Amino acid sequence: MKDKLQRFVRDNREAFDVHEPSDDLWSRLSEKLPKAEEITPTGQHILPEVSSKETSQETGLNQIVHEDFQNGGSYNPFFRKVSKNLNWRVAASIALVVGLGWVGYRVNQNYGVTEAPEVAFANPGYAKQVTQYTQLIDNKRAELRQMTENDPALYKEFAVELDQLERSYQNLKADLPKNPNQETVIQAMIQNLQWQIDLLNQQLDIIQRIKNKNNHANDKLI
Amino acid sequence: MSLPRKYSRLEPKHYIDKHVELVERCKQGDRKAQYELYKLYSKSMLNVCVRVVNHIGEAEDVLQEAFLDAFCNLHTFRGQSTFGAWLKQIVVNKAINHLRQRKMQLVDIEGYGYGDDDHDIADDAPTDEEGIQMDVERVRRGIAQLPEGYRVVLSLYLFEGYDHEEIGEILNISESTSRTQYMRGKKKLLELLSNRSDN
Repeated sequence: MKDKLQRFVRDNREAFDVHEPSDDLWSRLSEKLPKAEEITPTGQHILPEVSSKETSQETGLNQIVHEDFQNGGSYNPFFRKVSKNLNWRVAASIALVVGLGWVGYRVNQNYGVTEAPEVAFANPGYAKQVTQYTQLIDNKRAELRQMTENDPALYKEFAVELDQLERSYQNLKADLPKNPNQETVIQAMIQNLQWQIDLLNQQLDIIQRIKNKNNHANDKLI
Repeated sequence: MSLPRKYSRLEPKHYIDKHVELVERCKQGDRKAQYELYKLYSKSMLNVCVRVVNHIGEAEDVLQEAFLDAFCNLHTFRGQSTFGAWLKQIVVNKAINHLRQRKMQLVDIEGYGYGDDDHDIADDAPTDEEGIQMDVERVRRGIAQLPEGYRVVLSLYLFEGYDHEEIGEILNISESTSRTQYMRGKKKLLELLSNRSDN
């Protein structure tokens, strides 16, 4: 049953949109958008092929021109000399980035800064526990998904149960910064994660039993 | 914050997204295609933002942030809903988050929000809705004058087509709170509308 107000809004929906985005909004937005080259999977422009030694004069020049373009058009003969070394510099930077990334990953795994920044902030001791549990849950969830591949209805049923817990976890997490008694909230969060793991274990157990039963049935048939 | 899962139901399943190709080009980072999509959706999405945050400048900031987010995360858009519906979810969430941040900064000086209105609406005589003359501009202004809690629920319900369950999920309130907020907000709005017609 729709009331008069609802009908009125529905019938005049377009007329309510009175505001126009200002003209420079797009230019402000587009400045912040990542460059097209950075998105495309064939990112040859920003990554000159490191391995090809026989870079011809022409592609070398293209590189310079491109570099030149990115530098705002200040073409400098210096780049011509540098272009041979460029490959090595690129290779070295990649190695450095990969190395740093790995170190960061290890540190993070141990202390769980990005996994649970709120928790790490409030109580570093618990952060590691939260990280471990969430990783365990992710693994088990992946396992569950894999095992229920041919039974999407069952997966859905399981997922609903899990999502209920997950939602209350997210609520707790959202409450954390505001709550004066942080320790209690974190303990509740960890308790919730443990429940999730228990639930996942039970669900995996159920699937396993179903599978066994089916196998037995097949055995009998043979 | 979880997004309303059922949202796609508002756009019938058989509706074929006209902008599939455009979206694909955007995924490749095609700036022109991004501009096309921006042109198609910026106006309606800006108005969604304005209704929620109630401030044109802040609404533009939110809109910019939402588009940026959408373009950067376009690979996660799998086409279960239309692009427009997907984008609107991002826009609404950004706008609500913006309100939350603003609230934290202001620490609720005005003290209005959800459920501060104590008197029970059931006690009052129902406002004579049919007798009120409606006009787009006055309804729009009236909504903008409502306290924040009412305004957001009313906007999401009347304009964006969310039901109370979905609004509850978005705002982290119960479905019945959303319902009462809507009833009270509507009543207040009708009062505003009838008062002004007296002037």
